[in-house]
Amino acid sequence: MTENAEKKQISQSYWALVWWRFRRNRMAIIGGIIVLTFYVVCVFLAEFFAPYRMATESKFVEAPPQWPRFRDAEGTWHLRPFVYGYEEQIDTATRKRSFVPDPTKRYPIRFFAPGDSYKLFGLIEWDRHLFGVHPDQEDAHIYLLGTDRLGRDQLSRIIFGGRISLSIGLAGVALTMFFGATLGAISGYQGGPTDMFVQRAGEFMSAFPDIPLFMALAAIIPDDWSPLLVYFGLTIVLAFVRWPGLARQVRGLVLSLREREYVLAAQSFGANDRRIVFRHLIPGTLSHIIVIITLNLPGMILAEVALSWLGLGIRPPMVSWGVLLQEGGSVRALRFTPWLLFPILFVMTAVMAFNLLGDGLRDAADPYSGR
Amino acid sequence: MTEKTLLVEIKDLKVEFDVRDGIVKAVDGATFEINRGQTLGVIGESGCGKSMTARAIMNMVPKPGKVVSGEVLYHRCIKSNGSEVTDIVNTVELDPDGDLIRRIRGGEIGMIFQEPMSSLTPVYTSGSHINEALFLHRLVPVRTVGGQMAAEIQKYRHVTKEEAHEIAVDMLRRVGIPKPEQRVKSYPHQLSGGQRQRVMIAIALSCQPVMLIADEPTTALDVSIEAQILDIMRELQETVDMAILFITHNLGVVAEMAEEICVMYMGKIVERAPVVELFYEPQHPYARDLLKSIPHVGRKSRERLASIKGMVPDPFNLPSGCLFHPRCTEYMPGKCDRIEPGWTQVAENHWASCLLYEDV
Amino acid sequence: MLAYIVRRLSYTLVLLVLLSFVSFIIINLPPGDYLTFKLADLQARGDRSAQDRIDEYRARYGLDEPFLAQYFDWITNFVKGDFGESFQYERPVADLLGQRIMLTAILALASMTVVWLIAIPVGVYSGTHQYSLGDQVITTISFIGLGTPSFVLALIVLFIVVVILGQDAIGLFSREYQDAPWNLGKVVDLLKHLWIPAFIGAFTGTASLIRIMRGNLLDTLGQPFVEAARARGLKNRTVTWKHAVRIAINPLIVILGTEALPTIIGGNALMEIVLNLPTLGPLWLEALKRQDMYMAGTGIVFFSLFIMVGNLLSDVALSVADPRIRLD
Repeated sequence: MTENAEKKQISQSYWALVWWRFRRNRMAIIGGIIVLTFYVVCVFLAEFFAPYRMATESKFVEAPPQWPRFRDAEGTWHLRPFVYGYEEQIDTATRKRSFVPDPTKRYPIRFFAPGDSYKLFGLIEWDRHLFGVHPDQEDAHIYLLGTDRLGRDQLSRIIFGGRISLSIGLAGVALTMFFGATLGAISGYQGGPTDMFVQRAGEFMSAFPDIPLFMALAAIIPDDWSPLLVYFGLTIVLAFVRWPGLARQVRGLVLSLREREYVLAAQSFGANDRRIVFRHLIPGTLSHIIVIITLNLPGMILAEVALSWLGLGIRPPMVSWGVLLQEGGSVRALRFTPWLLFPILFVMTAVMAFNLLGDGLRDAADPYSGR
Repeated sequence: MTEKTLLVEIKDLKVEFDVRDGIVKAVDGATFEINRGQTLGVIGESGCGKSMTARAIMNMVPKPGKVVSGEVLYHRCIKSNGSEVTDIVNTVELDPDGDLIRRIRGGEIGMIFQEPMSSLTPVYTSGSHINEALFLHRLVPVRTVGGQMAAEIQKYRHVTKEEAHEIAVDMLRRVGIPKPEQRVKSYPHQLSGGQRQRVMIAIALSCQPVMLIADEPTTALDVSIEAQILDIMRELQETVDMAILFITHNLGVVAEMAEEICVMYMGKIVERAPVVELFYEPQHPYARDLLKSIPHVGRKSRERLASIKGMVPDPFNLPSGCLFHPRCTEYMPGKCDRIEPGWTQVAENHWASCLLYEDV
Repeated sequence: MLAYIVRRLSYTLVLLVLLSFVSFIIINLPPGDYLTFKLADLQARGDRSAQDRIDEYRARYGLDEPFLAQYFDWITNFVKGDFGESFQYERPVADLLGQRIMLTAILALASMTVVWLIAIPVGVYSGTHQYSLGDQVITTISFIGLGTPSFVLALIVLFIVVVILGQDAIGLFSREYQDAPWNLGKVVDLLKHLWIPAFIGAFTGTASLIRIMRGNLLDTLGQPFVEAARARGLKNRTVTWKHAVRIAINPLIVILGTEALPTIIGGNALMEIVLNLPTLGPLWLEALKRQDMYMAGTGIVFFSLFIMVGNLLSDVALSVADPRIRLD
C-alpha cells in the first residue's frame, strides 16, 4: 500500500476525531469564540474591560449613549476616535431634564487609559482600563451605552452584570449536573427500586410548570439576605428545578450504555458497581454530558435573567442582566431611555452562542449522525 | 427455450459519488442485458456496485451519487390502439420525479429490498401498501356492454376500492400468507420478517411488472425463511412472464435462482455466463477464487479455508490497469498492472474481462 | 382507550392534589405571611391601630390555625369551586381569576396552534432542501429564536410598539371591550388582538420545533421504507408527506405536549407580565410576592392543570397516530 494510505490508517483517538469534526463547523467555532469572549470579558477581566465601576454614580442622569466618532462637526477626520460630551437641556414644557450631545466638548478615547483602580483577579492592583477618556479633562466621561437614572455607566454595569449572570449559569449547571448526573447515572445503572424512586420523584417535579416553580421558589429567598447569599440561594433554586430534566437525559444515556459489551466485560472481571459507574460509564458518556451542559446553560442564564427582572432573583446593589432589564423595562423607561434595553442584545448573543456551540459539539461527538 | 427479447440494456453505466475525500466510482462501466422472462443474477462482494446498478435502472441513485455516463435502455411494451409498440426509454435521462419514470417504477419494474423489517411504512397496513400501489398502477380492462370486448379498441381504467381489496387479499394468498383476509389489515410490526418480505413481493407483483429487481431480498432472513421466499419467487415467476434481476452476495442462493450470472468487482462486470457454466468453469480469476471459497462439506478437515488474498482496494487509491491485479493468482507483471482488460468472449454466451483471454 | 383516559385523569387528579399541597408549602415558606406585609404597609402609612386590625384579620382568615388545617380547608373548598379569598383584594379568588384563567388558556392554545402550523411545514421544507439558501436562512432564524425567550421578545416588541410606533401598549382588548360582557363583538376584538401575543409566545417554541422536525425528517428520509415508497412510483411530494413526515412527526407530537406546552405556559406567564395582559400571569406574580396564599396556590394548580391536560392529550394523540404505541 502506498504511504499516503498508510498515513490515513493511523487510528485517531476519540477526542481527536471529535475536535477534527468540530473544527469544520464554522458556526460552532464562532459560538465558542463568543462564549469564551463573554467569560473572559465579563467574568474574569470585568474590571479591566469596564471603563467605570459598577456603582459609580454621576450627575449625567439618564444620558443617551455617546457614540464613538471619527469625524467632528466641522468635517475634520481624526485618527483617534472621540465622543461628544453632554449638554444639559431642560424642556420648558415638561420641565424634564435631558442630556444631548454637545459637539463643542470633545473627549478623545484613550486605550489602556488610567481610571478607577481595582484589583485584577482580586490580587493585583492596577488602574488601567481597556479604554477611557483622560481624567484631566474637566467632566470627561465616556458612556458608550448611556447612563441610567442614577448616572451609572450602562456598559460597565452590563459587563459586571454579565459576571453574575454568566457565572450563575455555570454554577447552576454545575450544581444541577452534580445532582442530576449522579442520580441519573445511578438510577439508570441500578435499575429496580432506586430507578423507580428517582424517576417518580423526577416526574413529580416535572409536573410543576417550570417558570412558576422558579418564581415560587425564588420568592422564598428572604429579602434581608445579603446579595451574595441571594446569589447562592438562587443557584440552588435553579439547580433544584432543573435536575429532573438533566437526570432523565443522563439516565437515558446510561441505559443505552449499560448493556454495551464493555460494561459486561468489566462486570465479568469482577468490577463492582461503583467502579463501573465512575470508571466506565461516566467517561463513556462524558462527551454527551459536555453537550448536555452546554445546551442547558442558556436555560439557566435565561432563568436568572427572568427571575431577576421580576424582582425575585438577584437583588440590587448586585447587578445582573436581569436586574438591568428590570430598570429598563418599564414603559416610561422605554420611552425616555430605550438604551437601557441593551442588555437584551448581550443576553440573546450569549444564549445563541451557547446554542451554536452546543449544537456543534453534539454533532461532533456523535459520529453516527450523518448530518 | 423461447426466443430471447431484450428487456433492459445497460450500456457502459457509470455512477459516481462525490464525497468530501474525493470521487468514488460505485459503478464503473457496467454493460449487460436482461431479456424478457429471464432471471439474471448479479453477484459480488459488498460495495461492488450491484445495488447502485439496480438503483440506476430505476433512476433512484441517492445523493451525493450521480449517473455520470452510460445508458439504461428499457424496452417498453405499450399497448396502443390494439397493437403492441416497443418504445425504448433511457431511464437515467428521465426526470426523476416525472410521470414516465414513476409509471415505470412499480408499474413496470418492481423492486424489493434487503431489509424487510424496515421497508414498509410502520403506520400503514399491508393492505394499504398494496392498495396504494394498485391505485397508482393497476389497470383493468373496461368491459363494454354485453360482455364482448372489441378486439381492436381496448380501454383501461383504474381499479375501484372493492377490486383493490380483492386483489390485495388474493396477492397475499398467492405469496403464501395464511389468513390473508385478516392479514391485510395487519401493521408491519405485527408481521414477522419473512411475512413482511412476502408482503413486499405481493406489493411488487400486484402491479404486474415485466421485471422484478430483487436487491438482496433474503440476506436479512434466516435460512429456512429464505428457502420459502425463494420458492415463492420461483413459483410466481412461472405463472407470469416476468424477468428477475437477482442481486446477492450469496452464491448458493444465486445458483438456485438464476439462469445467467454476472459477477461484479469494484463497479465493473468481470464475468458473465450461464449458471452451470459459471460454477463449473469460471474463467475470471476473481470468480474462480469466489467459487473456491465456498466451504464444501466432506472435504478433509485439515484443508485450509480458501480465501481471496489481500483486501478490497481503497476507492481513492485504485490500482492501475486491472483493478483485481493486486489480489490475482494469475497476475502477469507488466501486463495486468498497466492495461485495463476489455470484454472477451470465452465460450458461447460466456464472457470475461481478463487479460488472460485477450491478445495483448 | 376510554379506560386509559379515565385512569390517566384520576392519576392527574391525585397528582394535582399532591402538587397543590407542595405548592401550598412553598408559597408559605417565606417567613411571615401576607399579613406581615399588610402590617408593614399600614404602619408605614401611620396607622397606629394596625396591629389590632391585623390580629382581627388573622383570626378571620384562620391564619393562626395550624398549617395542615388551613390547607385542608382550602382544598376541600377548591373542588367545590371556591378557591378561597384574596387577601389583597378581599374578594373571592374565583371572581378575580375566572376570566383571566380562561384567557390564559386561550392564549396558550393560540400559541400552540401557531407553533404547530408554522413549525411543521417550515421544518419539512428545511429538511427536504437541506443546505439550500432557504434552509440556511431558516436555520439562522431558528437560532435567533432559540436565543429569544418570550419575555425578551415581548420586551423587544414592546419597544418597537411604544417607541417606534408610538402606541400605548399591547393588550388583548381594545378599551371599549376591556370590561364588557362577552358577546360576539368582544370575541372578534379578542381575535384581532390575540395574534401578536400568540406569536410572541410561539416564537421560541417554533424555532425549537423547526429544528427538531428538520432533524427527524432527515433521519427518516434515510430509512429504507422511504426508498421503497419511491420505488413504487410515488411522487416526491407523496413520499415526503404521506410516508416520511407521517413517521417523523410522531416524536413531535410527544414533544409538543411534554415540552412545548410547559414552555409556552411558563413563557407566556412572563410575557403576560411584560405586556400586562389581563391574564393569570401578572396577578399571580403579585400574589406570589405578597404571599396572597389562596390566589397564588390557585394559580399554580391551574398552571399545572393545563400542563397535565396537555400531556394527556398528546399521549392520546400519539397513540392515535402511531399504531405501534399501545396504551397501558
